[in-house]
Amino acid sequence: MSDTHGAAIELLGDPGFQMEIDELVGSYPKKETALIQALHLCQAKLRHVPLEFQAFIADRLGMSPAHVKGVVTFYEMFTEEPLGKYLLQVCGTLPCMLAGSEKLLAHLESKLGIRPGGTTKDGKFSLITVECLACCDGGPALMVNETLHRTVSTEDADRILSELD
Amino acid sequence: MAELLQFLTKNVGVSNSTHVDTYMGNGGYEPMMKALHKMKPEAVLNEVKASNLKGRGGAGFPAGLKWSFLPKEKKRIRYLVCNADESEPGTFKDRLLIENDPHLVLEGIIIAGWATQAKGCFFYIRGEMPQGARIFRKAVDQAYNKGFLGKNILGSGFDFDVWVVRGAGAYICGEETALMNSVEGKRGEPRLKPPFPAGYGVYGEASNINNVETYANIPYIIEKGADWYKSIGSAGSPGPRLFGVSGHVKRPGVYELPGDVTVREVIFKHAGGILGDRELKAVIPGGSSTPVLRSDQIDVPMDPDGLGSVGSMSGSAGVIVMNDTVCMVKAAVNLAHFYTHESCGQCTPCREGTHWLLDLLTRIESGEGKPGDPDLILQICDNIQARTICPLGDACAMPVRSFVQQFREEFEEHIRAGRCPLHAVEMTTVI
Amino acid sequence: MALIRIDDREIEAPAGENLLRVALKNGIAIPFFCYHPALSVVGQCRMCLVKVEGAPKLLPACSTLVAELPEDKKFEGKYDMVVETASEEVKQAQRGVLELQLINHPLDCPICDQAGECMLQEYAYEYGDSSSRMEFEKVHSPKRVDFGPHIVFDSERCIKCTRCIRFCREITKTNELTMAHRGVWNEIQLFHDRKLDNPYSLCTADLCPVGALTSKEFRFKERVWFLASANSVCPECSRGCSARYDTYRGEILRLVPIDNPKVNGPWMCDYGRLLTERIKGIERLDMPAFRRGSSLERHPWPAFAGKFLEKLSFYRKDFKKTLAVILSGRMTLEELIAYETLSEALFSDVSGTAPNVTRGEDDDLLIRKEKRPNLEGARRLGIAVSEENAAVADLLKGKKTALIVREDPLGDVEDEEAKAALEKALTGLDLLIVADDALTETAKLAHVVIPLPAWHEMEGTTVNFLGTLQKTARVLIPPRNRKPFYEAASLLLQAEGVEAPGGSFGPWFSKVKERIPELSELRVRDLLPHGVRLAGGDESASGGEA
Repeated sequence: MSDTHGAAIELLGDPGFQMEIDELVGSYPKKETALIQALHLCQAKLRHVPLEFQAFIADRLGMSPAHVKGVVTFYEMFTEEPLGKYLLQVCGTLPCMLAGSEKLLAHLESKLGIRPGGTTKDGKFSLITVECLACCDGGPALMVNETLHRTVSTEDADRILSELD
Repeated sequence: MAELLQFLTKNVGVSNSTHVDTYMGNGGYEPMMKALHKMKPEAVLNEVKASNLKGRGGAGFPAGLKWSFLPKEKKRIRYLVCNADESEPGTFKDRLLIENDPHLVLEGIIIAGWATQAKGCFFYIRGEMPQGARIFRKAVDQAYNKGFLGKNILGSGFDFDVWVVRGAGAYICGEETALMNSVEGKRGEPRLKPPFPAGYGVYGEASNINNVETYANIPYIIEKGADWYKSIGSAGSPGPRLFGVSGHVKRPGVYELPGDVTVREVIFKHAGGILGDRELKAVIPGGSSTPVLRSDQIDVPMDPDGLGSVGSMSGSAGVIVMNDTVCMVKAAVNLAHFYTHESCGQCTPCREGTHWLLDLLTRIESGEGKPGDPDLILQICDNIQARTICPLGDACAMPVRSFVQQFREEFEEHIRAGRCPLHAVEMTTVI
Repeated sequence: MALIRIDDREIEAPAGENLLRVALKNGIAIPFFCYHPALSVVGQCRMCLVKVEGAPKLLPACSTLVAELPEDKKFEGKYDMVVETASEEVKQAQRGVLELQLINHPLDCPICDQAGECMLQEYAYEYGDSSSRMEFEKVHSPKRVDFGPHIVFDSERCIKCTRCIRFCREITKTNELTMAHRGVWNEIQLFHDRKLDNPYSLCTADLCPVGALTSKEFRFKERVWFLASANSVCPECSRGCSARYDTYRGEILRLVPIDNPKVNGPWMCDYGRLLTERIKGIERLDMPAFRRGSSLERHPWPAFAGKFLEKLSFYRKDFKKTLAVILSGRMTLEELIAYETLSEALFSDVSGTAPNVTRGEDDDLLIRKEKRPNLEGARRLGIAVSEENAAVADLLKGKKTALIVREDPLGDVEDEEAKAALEKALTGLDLLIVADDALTETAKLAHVVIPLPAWHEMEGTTVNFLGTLQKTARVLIPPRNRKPFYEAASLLLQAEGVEAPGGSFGPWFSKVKERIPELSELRVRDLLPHGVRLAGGDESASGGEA
């Protein structure tokens, strides 16, 4: 895996990033509202929220680092370990299950050789199951990072993956 | 027979519908101008109250009445909150509005702000809808540019802001006080009530929270009046309503219908009937937190009284249809897994009880169930329901109980035979 | 005032009062875990659910407030609230909540320190079922986690009541702890490599209803039902926290704070508690002794009295000029007044000075920089108290003889040079008498050593910086030749042929009462359990009120 500590330090030292954070903090009536938004920023840039960032944002927003840790670990979308380049999120809740999400998941597991929670050795794909994505009429639903794909058959899945580099 | 309506969904499918010019070209923001220029805040609130608009997030609390709980003293800060955390399984109507007609929602929020003299609105959108957040932010920017947001809106003296706040993956943040905690940069853990949001809300300020679809109804109520609104649907569920149909139907999707359409009509007339041309076995009428119905219970209106008469609730109008290839135990396991995963963990009954239910249901599904398991499940549901800080405990207990009660024989058969009676049947799927 | 009915009792309570508090104050048992009177209310454990007439569901008593109703709405025409705490419905809820609390709780009782004082155990016995219906693998999480210098954490035993998190947030404001993850995987965690190391960390072990947070020092020492306890006062600073000393076979195993609204509330600092560790291995004499070269010639009481007077006779006539007397804020009021009486007869009325030893600063909670428990008591007896950290060496200037009671100036001084100078001054004395509970560095230089009992081996009274007079207890019985200073005084006065009060606490306490008029009507039992606030205390400082 890449040097995550180094990447974190580099990001925190980047004045452009600091400006993004400042802008975020200034855009809400109270700075605490910016916490989860800042964590999204970090998760997007570093593919996880390392301890260095947790300590930094805690200090920046006048919170305790323990509080930030509590927030990071509560929400599904933040991870403390780096994700692969593409996060494949397969919805497994009832409407998508009725549409065939189990077939889709099994196909992805066997194609990538990983179970949910795992990442391919080349760091390209992480696979997780998620709960209802609110597109139940388009099940089985698959999100790849921020892109939502509807009614994804196993063939569709192959096509989607092949288009990702 | 209930026909499809085109109020809330008027702009869906229209080219460039998310742009403010398109929206205004179709009559948009005229209700807002009417409210700000021709109606006192009190009058707007009374009109909404008179319409008896019910909240569309799932609880069905009268919106106008909720607005009236806010303190009126000028010196107090009032916040609005728009709950765009749509995460109730089977529900996808808010996404439709946000992604296709954000200005309808925004206009409703601004009118609500005027009625309640609020300082601004936190638009809280689930983290898994980044596209929706982008679209709504753009709509907000357009509204600022037009002078519909910000200081002294259209010369009315009214200041109002909208802040878009993303969630980060937690169903519980759809609960109003957990949502407020999340807005405050905390874990999404529900608060004790009382105090209620109207007295102590976001950052301790008086707050009113409503669902996306609820706000989307407001421009119509102002434009056409409360009487018109009540002429659609029933007394228990007035106005046009967005029903989301998913599962084993030929035409899943969002259907705008009067609030008292029957379950049968929704499934067979509008959603095309059962996928695979098979028989209907079970249907969840209002999102996964509502008790499941059998196929002989679908001739009721989908308003609170109608669904109440068959032991269920109108909830979020998320209709999940299951045909006769679906194992009811498997469906129950799926839901128990959902609630266990989403429990915030604060209070004992929900934190521990949901996981125990999941274990019991799983062993029944796998053929390892014991004869006492169904009754034990019912007792655990009794120990969870009405004992928790927030309704998530109830939301798990009620559907699980309903599956066991409505399909008891299927559960017993799993236990007797040591396997699912449908083990040789392939479940209908879309893919 | 509202009139409420709880079960079959009619109770008056102010509107807005917490219902659980009202019940507990009136001796009505309602079980609870997450509620604590000094912390915010969270209503999470659901153990305190009660039936409140008019409410559709059972309500947690801890988050229900007493409310007054208009006349025409009152229940049965007179009650503002009607509450049932023991109906079938409530009992069923208690059983249900307990069952759910126990399903993932490990069967650790046989190895858990909390056994015998565990709220979960007690409630399970009182309100729960005797068998379990949960047959699945319990949810596992970390055990034996090194949480801090004094705390071990067992996450499986944790019932997620969040008292510890709230304590660190609201009381110490150090925020070391958080709840991490979600749902049944909720787990108390620290951030990264930070530790639970605030000066009150052991309070979390008190607070924890179960054995999730336990004391390292007390770990596996003894079962709590074998402990013998006595309520006394901590001697480590001028707050004098009320503390319960738990002992087993003559050894103090732990100190636990007693909730005293007049002094410390429900808390106590770690340093005070850990006197249990500091007293281990201290060198002590078992009877008085004269130094003969490098050895000690020991004599038991009362024989020692005569020999001591003999020794004194060579120096007595010059005491007025040559004697330095260093008393201490570690002496109880009875010991201090005993010196005064003794001084009249044996020490030419030379008065003593108590050094004012401070370390660090007062904190926002309980810790005082003044590290002696009874300096205020000394002041009220008219005894001189030196300036903060004034050099004891100055008190010895120009003196040839010295009596030092319960102070170890040589051991306390840190600066090398000052230590050397002080040692020179001490060894240069013709007669050095040291009366202390340990063979300290100073005592090792003395010509006469009189061993005293430790603070917890003697009855006494003490006044803290707020002016609160408290009683100490004889938690452990010392060897018979380690006598309190007042008993030694009685024996010496007897040997001198002077009338003396009896050698026990009672007569000397009476003498204290004579000296301080405010106390004249006081009986010992008035001092229990929380002491008595005297006039003229430091009103500006916090009283540790909960």
